[in-house]
Amino acid sequence: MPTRTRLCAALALGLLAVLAVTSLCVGAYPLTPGQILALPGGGDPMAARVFFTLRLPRTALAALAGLALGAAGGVYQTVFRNPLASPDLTGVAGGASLGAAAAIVLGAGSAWQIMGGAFLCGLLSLAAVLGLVRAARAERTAAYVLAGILVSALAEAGVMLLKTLADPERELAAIEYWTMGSLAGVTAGKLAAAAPPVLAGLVLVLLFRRQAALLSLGQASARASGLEPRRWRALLLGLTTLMVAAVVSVAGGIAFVGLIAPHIAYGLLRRCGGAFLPLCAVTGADLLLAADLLARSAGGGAELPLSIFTVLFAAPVLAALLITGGGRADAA
Amino acid sequence: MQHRFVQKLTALGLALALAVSLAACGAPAPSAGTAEAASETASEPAAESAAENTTETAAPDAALTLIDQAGRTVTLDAPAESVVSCYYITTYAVIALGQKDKIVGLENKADTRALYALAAPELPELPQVGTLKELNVEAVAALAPDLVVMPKKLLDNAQTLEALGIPVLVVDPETQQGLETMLTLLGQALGAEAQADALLAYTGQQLARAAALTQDLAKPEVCLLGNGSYLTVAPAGMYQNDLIEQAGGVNAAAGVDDDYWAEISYETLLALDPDVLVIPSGASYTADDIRADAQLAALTAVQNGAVYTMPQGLDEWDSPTPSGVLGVLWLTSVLHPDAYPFETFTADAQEFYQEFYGFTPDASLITQ
Repeated sequence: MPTRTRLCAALALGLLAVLAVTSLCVGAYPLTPGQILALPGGGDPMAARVFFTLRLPRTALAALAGLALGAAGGVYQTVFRNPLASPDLTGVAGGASLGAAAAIVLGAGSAWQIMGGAFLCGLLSLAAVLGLVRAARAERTAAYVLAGILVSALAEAGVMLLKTLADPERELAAIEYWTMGSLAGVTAGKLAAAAPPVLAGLVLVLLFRRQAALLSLGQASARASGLEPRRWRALLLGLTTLMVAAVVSVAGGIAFVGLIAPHIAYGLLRRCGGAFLPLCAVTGADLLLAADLLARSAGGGAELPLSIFTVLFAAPVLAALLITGGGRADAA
Repeated sequence: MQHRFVQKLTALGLALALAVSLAACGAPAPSAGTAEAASETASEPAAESAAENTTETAAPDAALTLIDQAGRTVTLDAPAESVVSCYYITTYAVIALGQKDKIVGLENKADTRALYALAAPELPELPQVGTLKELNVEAVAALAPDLVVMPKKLLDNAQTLEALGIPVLVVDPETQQGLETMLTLLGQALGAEAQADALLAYTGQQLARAAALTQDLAKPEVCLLGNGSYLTVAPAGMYQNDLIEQAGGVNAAAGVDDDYWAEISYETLLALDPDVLVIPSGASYTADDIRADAQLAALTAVQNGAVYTMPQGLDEWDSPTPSGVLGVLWLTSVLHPDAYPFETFTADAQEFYQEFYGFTPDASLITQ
């Protein structure tokens, strides 16, 4: 492993550990690190319940959602060979939001139903974007971005329509708050529902990172290396969409993590193979843990939407990319 | 050769993905299912579980079992001595039942409510635990209350708090009936049944009085406007519709097809052409704004000077609060001043606050 890779990995993982521990210690319920350390051997029962049903699941889901969004962004950018491809801009996040909102308005009670709606609409949106790009016969950045904007706008219009149909007493507030992203409502039960699809997708995507890198070389090169490009592309995109849908269904729409995590990872590694995808994932987890820490502590007792902070983190990164000319070519 | 191998690998990958997601679907699903089933059964054979609960506790006489307005069974060992209230209407109700000293935490933005400053100035100093959009469950747990009272909107948090071992009473004060059920439940949960009965009896008497006063009078058409904009009206399905009818009026917007605050256009408001416009207590605009709006100059209400504002800086009489009956009386005196003069209403309102909230509001606060 090159020194640079090792250094980057140590940096990202070290930050992840620091943020996760801080996240476990910060919250409205007073829990000192001493109390938390005493929990495995008994300790205060109320403290134990708060820690195990609220604090720990929230931290775990923040990390898991960040890993998933970061890896998904990395896969999209590699497979589409496009530095702007991300769950946000390919319409997947928008479609998943629409699917989850539709599930809420149709009276879906369980996390599984909401996740199913999010997954289905996320896949449909991705298919629509790919269909449009294909119809345009131009696999250029502009075609993806325009198709993504179109599909996202349609999904947003759908969400607006659902908002007007929603019961203002219960569903509207749920949709409204949830379109901005929040981990405030995460409990052990919600973590248990979202973790399996996210983990399954994450593990497989990371296992197939070599194939993703081969796909980024173009169809001809992929075939020459013995890959069936269409099949692998469909598999990788299906897995990432599953992860994003699972995250959206419990945490709502979290903006831009999937877009900037790969750019930060690339900025650190300066290449797209090898450790790139794992580093995208860990960077995403760092970003989301930091955003969630701010979301629960910056509002003076009130919970703030996550996307406020992820967008604040993303803005300088995107501005720097814009000014320095992207740093990496379209063909990643 | 290599192509075959890749095909096999793909198939293996797909199968693995399917297997893992299936296993994932299978594993936690039963627990989610049982949780749902448990919450469903909890509401139905309530008597059964109530019996179980009472036999389980050491002192059966002290145990209190209630069915809340979400159909949940709530068991308390004794009437609550400390309570967290997550909504201003539930906080108002706790004050009106004479139990404000039991409040240990309440909803956000308590410092903006005029009624707290008048009836319980110490409340805004207490920890605030969130809004109807987002409840800070950890902050509630940190206060370790005997009981948490929350509206149906926050129902999702009830399960979380229950898992922490904190009893939650879910209420739904969106109609007169719902308000009365809430007061009865809160009276039981806080050991203040006598106060709840007194408040309900007063409300019943005053509603009957308003009905008797206005039964033979002509009923003016009224539009009750929303807080954010005067192009928002309360349609038939809302509490505000009942308020207008109980005060001897007709809701001009009853035909607007909506079940919550309905946004309408200038044209619709002109077509409805109500005799009276009522601005609620929390409005972000004034009667002068309406009078100055050239588009509305032709409205009967504007031409007759019949644009009234519910008192600001006292209470929320347009909402289903414990003092909601004063909203009916206020509107009765506005619509039918000959049958129920405003001076009589002012005296009645002052008496109400002295009786139930422990202070007498200055007459200057009670305005039209």
